[in-house]
Amino acid sequence: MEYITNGSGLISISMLIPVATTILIVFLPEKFTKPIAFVGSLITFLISLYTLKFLNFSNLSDIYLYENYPIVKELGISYAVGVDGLSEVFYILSTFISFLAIAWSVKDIQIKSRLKEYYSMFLLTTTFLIGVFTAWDLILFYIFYELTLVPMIFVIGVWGYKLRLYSAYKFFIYIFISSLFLLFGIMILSADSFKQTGHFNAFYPTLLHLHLPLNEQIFLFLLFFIAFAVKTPLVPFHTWLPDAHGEAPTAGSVVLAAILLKMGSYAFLRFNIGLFPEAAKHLWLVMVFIGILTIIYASWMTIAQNNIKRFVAYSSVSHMGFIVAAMFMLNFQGFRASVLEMVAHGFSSASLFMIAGFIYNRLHSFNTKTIAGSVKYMPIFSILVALTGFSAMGLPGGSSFWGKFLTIVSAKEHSLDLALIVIVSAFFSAIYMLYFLRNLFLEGKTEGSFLIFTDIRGIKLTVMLSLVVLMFTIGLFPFLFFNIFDASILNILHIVGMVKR
Amino acid sequence: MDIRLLLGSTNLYEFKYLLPEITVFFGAFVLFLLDIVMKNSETKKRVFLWISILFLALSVLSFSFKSAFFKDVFSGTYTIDTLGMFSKIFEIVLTLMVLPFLHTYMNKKNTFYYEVYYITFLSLLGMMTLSSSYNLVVIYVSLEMVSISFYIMTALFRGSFISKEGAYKYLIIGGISIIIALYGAAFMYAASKSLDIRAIMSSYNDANAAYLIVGMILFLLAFAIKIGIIPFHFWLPDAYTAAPTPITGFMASAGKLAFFIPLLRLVPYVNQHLYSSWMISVSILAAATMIVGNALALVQSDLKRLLAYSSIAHSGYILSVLSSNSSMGLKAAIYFVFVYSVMGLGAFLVLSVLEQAEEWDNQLPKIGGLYRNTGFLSISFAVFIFALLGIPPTVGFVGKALVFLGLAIKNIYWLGFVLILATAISTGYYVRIVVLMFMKDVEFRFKPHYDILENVSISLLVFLTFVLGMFPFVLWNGISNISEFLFKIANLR
Repeated sequence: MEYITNGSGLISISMLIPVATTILIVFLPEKFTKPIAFVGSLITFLISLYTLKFLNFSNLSDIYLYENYPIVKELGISYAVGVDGLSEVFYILSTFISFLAIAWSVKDIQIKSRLKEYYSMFLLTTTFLIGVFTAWDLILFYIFYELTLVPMIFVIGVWGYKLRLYSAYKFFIYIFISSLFLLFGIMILSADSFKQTGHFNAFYPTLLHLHLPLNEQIFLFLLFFIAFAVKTPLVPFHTWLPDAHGEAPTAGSVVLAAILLKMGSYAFLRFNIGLFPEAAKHLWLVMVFIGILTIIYASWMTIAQNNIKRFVAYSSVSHMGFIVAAMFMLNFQGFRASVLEMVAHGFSSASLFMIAGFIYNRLHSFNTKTIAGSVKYMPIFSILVALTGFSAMGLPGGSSFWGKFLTIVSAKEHSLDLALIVIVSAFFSAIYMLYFLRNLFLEGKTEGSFLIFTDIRGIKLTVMLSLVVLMFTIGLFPFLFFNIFDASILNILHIVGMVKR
Repeated sequence: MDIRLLLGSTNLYEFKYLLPEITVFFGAFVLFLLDIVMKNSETKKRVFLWISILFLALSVLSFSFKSAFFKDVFSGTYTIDTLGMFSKIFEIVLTLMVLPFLHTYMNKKNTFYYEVYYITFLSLLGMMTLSSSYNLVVIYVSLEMVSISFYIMTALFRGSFISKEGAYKYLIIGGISIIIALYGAAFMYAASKSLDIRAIMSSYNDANAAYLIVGMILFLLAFAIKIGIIPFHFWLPDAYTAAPTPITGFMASAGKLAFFIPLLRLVPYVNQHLYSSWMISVSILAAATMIVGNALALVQSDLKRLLAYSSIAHSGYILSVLSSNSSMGLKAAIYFVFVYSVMGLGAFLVLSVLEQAEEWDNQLPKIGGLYRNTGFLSISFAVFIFALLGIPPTVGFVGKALVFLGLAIKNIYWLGFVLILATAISTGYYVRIVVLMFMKDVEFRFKPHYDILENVSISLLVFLTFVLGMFPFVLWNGISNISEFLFKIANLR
């Protein structure tokens, strides 16, 4: 791994622009809030796209756009940001989804009050998310990881639906408490570094060279696991998610599902597997089974929901199960499947939450009984819903197809039985999407009762259309994405010592 | 000792090191005289405020700033060093911030007690001497000086029953703690024939071990009562609730800081013979304090009481890292003590502003929708609350991270998990405050009016909460030097 200092601080600039925009929003009158927020997040997104120019695509395991300023020298804490292929994907994804969330909010009739605070919260979230995905110092990572909580409880608690206070409370408590274990783990690593090298250090590439015995690796793996399992979420730790995602405003759910969950799975890949490879090899089967348990349990729970937002939320949990199961196959195709599925789920869950939000705008209800069949009367919207649904289901050409297919392939590398189990669980996740589509298209009241609706149009149409197009881009041209993150994945596999191609 | 001998051995030149203390003492004296001379009027109130501020500012200016500095003066009874200087400056600055709030508070209550100014000065003087001595007698006298001032200030509003009750409780338990300290000091003196803690701790041998350990435990016990360590905490919530809110802030910040300094000074002298008993007793006390303090705070409905229990819990966090007894642990403890005084004071000062409102009765639901009433105050309060909880990038996060690091380096993992559990409990009540403030409907209409000084104080505390957290090296480099220096001196003996 090499550090290439190019791009003259573009990552820091893209982190500062949302903050600067927030300051502008706070001090200018409220009528300027929406355009400023829109432009600010658009610029951030464009900068993140522009960073692709600085990457050398023939060697993406290096860290590009690297910046390092020491914060506390003695403790080895530094502001070290940069991107390798894997980070770059999530860096662009987070700026993109934040931009879409803000664009969607501009026309969202649910957001009537306290506009300044609302857009500030989203912009700050963008900054913190960029920090999470580009940090190379574990303490810096932790700082941003925690900071994403603060704007999010306000988004849920102030602009959410009926149970918003309870949900905000629950969301914060779950994630904050679990992340304390992560902090303790990081500090133990730093102390280990002190014992072995004489310097405190939380810098990821340095920590890779520590010699940790197996029992300590497992101990630290479990500490990190608690934090990321709650964040991802995996099944016994998932109960905050349906509440938080169900009660947040549409844009909040979009950001939560599309990016905030990816922080957990990204960290699993980067830290749990990267830093504790022996423990990962030791515990891989347990993790795969937790993943599969998550898929099956969450799929069943999805089918049982009568609130469409909670339905989408549970479907997210099930997808995250796939991501973790694929990742802990610990082989190349598994990693590929996992990362591609993270990106794909970023688009599809965003789209699904937008569908739920759009229907709520029209019908003021999330109840599956009330909204059944409502899509039929909005032709363009119905096409978007159908495409999203089929894509998330995993039909060939759709976004989830490669993720699921490669998971099965990677499971087959271990044993046929495992592959069969994965196939069965993939079947479950198809069931609930069919259920979703049947509910929106084929059930419901007699003709004519919904005729007053106007179809999706303008900015919301653009937003959803771009998501659908991206979903099918993943499905049809997965190598566009593979090319970016393959090298980094191989790098992690190299650490695990299981390079097989 | 012959008095002439004593005078002869006192080098008058050494008084220059006492300049800040002398300034504070002189300030108290001037205020006392003014109180007798001047008639009660609006002018007198202003004069008192500004004269106190003047003297405190002079006192800060009279420090000679040096890093890694150490000097014993007055035959070793008084020690001038960097830790002392740091903590004294902090104590003075914190007092400076409290005074404007005290002024408005008493104005609001229509009972202006001028004596509170010079009592504050005297307690500050006690804190300053407490922060800079290894001598048992000096520590004992300063402990009494601080405590007696606190008893008086707790019962400042003598018409209120609650004030009297709190002060009475504080007086009784504080008196007991002083006696215990004295008893412990006697044991230590008997064991080592010395009054200097450094000499006492290094005089350890098999013959006097029992006396020494009993003495040390009793002495620590006294400090545990003063700081409010569980199970010796019963006076603390009552006294903190009873005292006028700015005074509560003063007690929780500057007072706590001063009470912790002798404990911090003790750490480098805990040698390998004493280490295991020190580790076990301190870590058990710390674990109990963290858990019980937070659990009791969780069930409070009175905000002031809640913050009092949270103050107890924070003593537990600081104590837990002291148990690791390493240079890193000492650094973490010093950092945490300093930054707790910032965030704790901030939280109490916000409460004291809220008490301007007629409807305000410190009950938790009353804080609902505060953001709609006063944005600045509620955002500041949220910052302090998040800092107390330990959300980055505030000082509370850095403090907790350092505590984790201090525990990890000595492999005291179980205490780390206790800390996680305690913080988990504390999340409940801290987040409830934030949720109520920002997400509920307005409970009552309220427009606070601040003095410019009050505004500056709160802004400065918010600023410090962020800056010392985001750029910890501002404080860290100094603390790191102090800690290593203390260990170096201890190892020289």
